[in-house]
Amino acid sequence: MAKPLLPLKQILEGDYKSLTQSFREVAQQDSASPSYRTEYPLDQLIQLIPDLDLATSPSENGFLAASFEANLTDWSPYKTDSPTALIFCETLIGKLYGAYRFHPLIEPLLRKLALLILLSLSKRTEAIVDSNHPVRQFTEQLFQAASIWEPAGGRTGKALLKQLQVLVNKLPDFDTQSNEAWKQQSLALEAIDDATLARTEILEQRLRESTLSDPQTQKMQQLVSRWINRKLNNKPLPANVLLFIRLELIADLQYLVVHEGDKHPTWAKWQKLLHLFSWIFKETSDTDDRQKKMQVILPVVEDLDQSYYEELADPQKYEKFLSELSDSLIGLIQGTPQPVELYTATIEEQNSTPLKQSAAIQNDDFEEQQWFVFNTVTLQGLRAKLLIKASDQDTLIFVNCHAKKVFESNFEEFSLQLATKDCLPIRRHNLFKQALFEALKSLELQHRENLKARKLELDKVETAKLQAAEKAQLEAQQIKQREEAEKLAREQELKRRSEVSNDQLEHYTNQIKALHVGAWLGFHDRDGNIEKLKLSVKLASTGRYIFTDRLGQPVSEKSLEELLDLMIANRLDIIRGGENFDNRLEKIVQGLRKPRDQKSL
Amino acid sequence: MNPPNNNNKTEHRQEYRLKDSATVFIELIAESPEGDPAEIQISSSVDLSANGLQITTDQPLPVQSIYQAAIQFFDKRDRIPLTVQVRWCRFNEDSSNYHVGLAVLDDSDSRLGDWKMDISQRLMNIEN
Repeated sequence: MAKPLLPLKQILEGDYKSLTQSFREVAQQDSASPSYRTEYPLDQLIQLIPDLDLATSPSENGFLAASFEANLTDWSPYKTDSPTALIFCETLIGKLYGAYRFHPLIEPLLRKLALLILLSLSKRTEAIVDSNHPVRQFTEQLFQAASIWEPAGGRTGKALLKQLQVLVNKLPDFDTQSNEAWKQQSLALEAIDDATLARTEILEQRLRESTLSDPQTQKMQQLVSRWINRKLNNKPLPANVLLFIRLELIADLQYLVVHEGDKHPTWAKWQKLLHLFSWIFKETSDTDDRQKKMQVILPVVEDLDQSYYEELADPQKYEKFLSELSDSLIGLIQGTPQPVELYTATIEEQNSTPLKQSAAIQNDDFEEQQWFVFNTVTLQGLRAKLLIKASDQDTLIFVNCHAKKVFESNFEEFSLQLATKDCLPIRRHNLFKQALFEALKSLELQHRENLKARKLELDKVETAKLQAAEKAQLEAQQIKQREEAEKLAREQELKRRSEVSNDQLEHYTNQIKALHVGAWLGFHDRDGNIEKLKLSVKLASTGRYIFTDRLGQPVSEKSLEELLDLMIANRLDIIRGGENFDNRLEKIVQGLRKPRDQKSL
Repeated sequence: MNPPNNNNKTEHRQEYRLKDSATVFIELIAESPEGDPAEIQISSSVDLSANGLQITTDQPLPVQSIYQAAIQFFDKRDRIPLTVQVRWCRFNEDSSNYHVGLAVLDDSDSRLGDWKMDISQRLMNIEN
């Protein structure tokens, strides 16, 4: 790659002077790039942000125009002292924003805040290179926090969303010039981060303990799974009930028993209910059996309350399940056919599962605490952190930003997801510097193109100048040649005139002076052709004679001297002397009157 | 009498103009040296000033053309011969004819002095 024309290295090292110098250099050579001009000062634009309807996410080109054009009827391109800085900030924020993927709930707010940061950075360009600057620190904190955010119930689950809403609503009063104002916003984000961390650390620790369990823990887990397997193996169950037990219930009950012991009343309640599942869905034609089912089902349905799940995670999940279960049980009483499947016992995992070769290869590609975004159909847009990477159990546990376990996988499956890009690592740190580097590369490219365009323009001007000079020179030569020819002709005329006697000259002069408007003269060219022209005007002020064709179109203008010269050279004939128009007109009118008068006689 | 009409882009005369109707004879085609007859058009003026006049004609007149003309007021027997040049010409949709602006040229064979004097007197005789 050619050596950069702009001091990119110095800028990346934080040299502000190099940045401003680059803006100046680019602006000086920039004649064609779009310039943003508007009647609105930047502060006023920032005040408008809360009410803007931003249809598109920040991009490297046109985000500013799209943001304001769609919302302001009187928007016209932007007026600023430094359009280069503004365009650069648009590129920078576009690249930075594009490096993240945000949850749809939080994204509209982030668009507005990105616009705020863009406008603020263009005014406070020192923040672009100073990693300790409050604007820069807030920007990095904001995007880092938002990039992993997922909604969750409770106050803490919405804390970040709420904070951003408050900031956007308060933008009209936000003093972008005040470092203190930016620091306060950073502190607010930090407080949310600290509170989340304090809560998630405990939850994550619990999850770790339950997954990476000691022999006692494993024993308790097996107690649950074995009990359920024993009870339900080969028993018919409605598909949704079967699925729920396999996917949710076993893990939740294991967690409960591991932490609370196998005497916990919730475990006892579920044991009773699971025992019921072992026979209640079996079809029977025996009347006694049916009678018995009816007697049992109603009290059970009445008892399906929150006591089943208040000690377990995610109450909403259980509310839904118990409601579906209740419908299934009532269906049994009403004799509604229940599609069922046979429950097959889960194969108990061995203590250690050897990693498959393909998974082992990628084993080093991901580490605990790394964040990922999933793009599969079932996990569309899910942001999750790899909390536990248990090689010996071939287990990967993922949690969201609220430490809720959202996904469990094994090495093989996860490696495949990574390979097929169904799962992408979320990079959260140093992205500003990366975006700055890319924006600077764009600036360098733009500068090179500007210089190229300017050179082309100069070449074009130079060529035009050269062509004009050559044309002028040619014309000058032609004039000189003409003047020389005229001089020669004049000398010949003078020579001829000197040969003409004074009497002859006076005669010619009188002849010309006696010409009236309307006279016809024959002009001979050097080739002997004759052009007949009518004298149309004898200009009193200049003494010049204007000749026209028969239709009045001016053809030639001569002085008395010029006419004399032509006469001496025998190149001018007086064909007809001319007559006053009024006299001619009078004759015509008389001519018209006579026949009328004769007629009246 | 009309004030100067600055709004009319084709009208360049800045003087006050007489809204007087005079007969205007214009020699559109001169008699040829070989004796082909002249063609004279008779039209009437729309307004008049010391340096020009506006006339109506049934045919367009080429701009820059120079014509011999004679103006006859209704209250005078003699005509004033003038040399005029066409400055503008436009079609008038209302009257379906052409309005032509003529400048009076400083031709020593014409009676420009008489013309100016006549116009001056007419202007002075107008009651405000």
